[in-house]
Amino acid sequence: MKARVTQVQHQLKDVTRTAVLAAGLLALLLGCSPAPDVPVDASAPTTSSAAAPLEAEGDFAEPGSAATWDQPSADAAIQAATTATALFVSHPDDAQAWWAQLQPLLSATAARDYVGVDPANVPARRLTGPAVLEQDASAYLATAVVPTDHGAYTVLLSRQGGDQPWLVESFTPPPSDSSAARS
Amino acid sequence: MKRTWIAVAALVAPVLLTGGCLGTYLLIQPPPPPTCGPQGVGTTDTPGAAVQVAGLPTTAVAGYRGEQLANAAAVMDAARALGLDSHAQTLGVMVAMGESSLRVIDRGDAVGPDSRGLFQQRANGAWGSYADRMDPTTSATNFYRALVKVPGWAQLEPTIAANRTQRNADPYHYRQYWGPAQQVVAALAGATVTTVTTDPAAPVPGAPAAAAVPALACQPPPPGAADLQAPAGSWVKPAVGPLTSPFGTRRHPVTGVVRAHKGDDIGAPCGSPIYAAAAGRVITAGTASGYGHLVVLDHGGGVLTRYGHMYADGLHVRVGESVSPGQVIADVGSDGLSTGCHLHFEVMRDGELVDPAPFMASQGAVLG
Repeated sequence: MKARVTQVQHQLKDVTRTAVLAAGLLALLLGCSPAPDVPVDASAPTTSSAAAPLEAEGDFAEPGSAATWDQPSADAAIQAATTATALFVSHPDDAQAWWAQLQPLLSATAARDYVGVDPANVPARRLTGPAVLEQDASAYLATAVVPTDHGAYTVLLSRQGGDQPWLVESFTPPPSDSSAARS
Repeated sequence: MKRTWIAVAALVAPVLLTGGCLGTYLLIQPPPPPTCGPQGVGTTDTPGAAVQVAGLPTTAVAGYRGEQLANAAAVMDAARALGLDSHAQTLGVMVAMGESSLRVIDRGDAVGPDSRGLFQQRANGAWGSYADRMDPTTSATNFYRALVKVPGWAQLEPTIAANRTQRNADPYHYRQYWGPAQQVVAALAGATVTTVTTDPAAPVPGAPAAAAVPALACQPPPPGAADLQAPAGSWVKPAVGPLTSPFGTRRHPVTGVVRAHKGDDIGAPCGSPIYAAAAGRVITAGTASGYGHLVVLDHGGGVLTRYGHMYADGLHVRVGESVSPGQVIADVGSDGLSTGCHLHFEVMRDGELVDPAPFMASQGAVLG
């Protein structure tokens, strides 16, 4: 008798497990999470009992270290702006090689957006003096004014941490500079 | 690229086909005010004819008037003749504003002394003859023929799609003209546009603006549309929704693997607003491994907040901008290592990721 009850319980468990699996599969197909996250830390804030969105397995980009303004940071920002702008205005013979050199000096967003630029359409051709840094209230941002034969370019830089390089977000030509177009 | 949006788009396809352009928002929240451009200009279809505009506003639209508005109408007409939609029409008007202030100029500039016309096209053979480049309709048509060859042009930010067509030196140059172009296109969509015919006694009546081409790409709600009104020095919760996975370690519901979770997950619906938790500067706004797209704000005093899993077109701020508490900076998404829409929210203090919930509570903004 007892054995029989156990067997029924097992059958019920199997049915339940199948149902749970099926529900989970359906939820996955529908883009929902199959079960709420289980907080391991009991002191954590209350979590919703509703289906929780998941973060998939894998690595997230590590944040950089805390940044603060100091002389090496400022020197590095000026150097980054000068190097990148000199290359930007260089009117190379080989646009592909130019891009291969420029891209690593740009932020991810700038690299996405500047890929369409034809270097032959850059109005400036050379730097005409030292870059001047406008130190930002944020230690993660810097603006450099870079003089060229076509006026002063404003170069916005960002860094992801004190231990990360300064990268160019944008080269903004002097005001009232009409865009010249067109390959 | 965006599985969720595609799925949602499929569900609301009938809505889209009937002219609605709010599809991606319909199922999840009350639709925002329509932000798609107006639906094209009714014209007669005599390509290449001079365009005459009647019934235009006599006052300036976004600072443009008369001949400039007529040229905008020619650009819009060229788009329509190619079967392109109002997004394309606005894009072409934006470029002509940025190149020539909507005037057919017979001169070039420093980098291109041979540039001519509304689009400042050069004499290198790619843009036709001098007469072609000086003709509003022909130059616009040649612009559009180049534009539609740009992969994914309709999904790109307009200034970027334009840059990949024009190859100009500043890819962000046209951004400032997008708003004015939307205003001009809206004003002209209600106007009657007729072509000059060879028989002046039989003027062709302008077709009504109902010759609509549904917009392919809706613009996101304008930033600031739903900003919270929060005091300057205050902190606010970055999204409205339950805390679905807190900071600390957690066991993965499927794999059972226990690993660190360095932020709080807030179960806010797809497309719902993400607010700046406090006043600050945008120091990151772009792709980041795992996060899909990541926005990072610097609040000063060694405190950063970080917002993850948005889609590319769900970012409403750019690096270098200042934001106020409660300003909409992005839309909730599920990009990166994510299987359902939520905000992954992190707080950094002096270079260390800390538990956001108690930090936010200490600032008077309780999460969840």
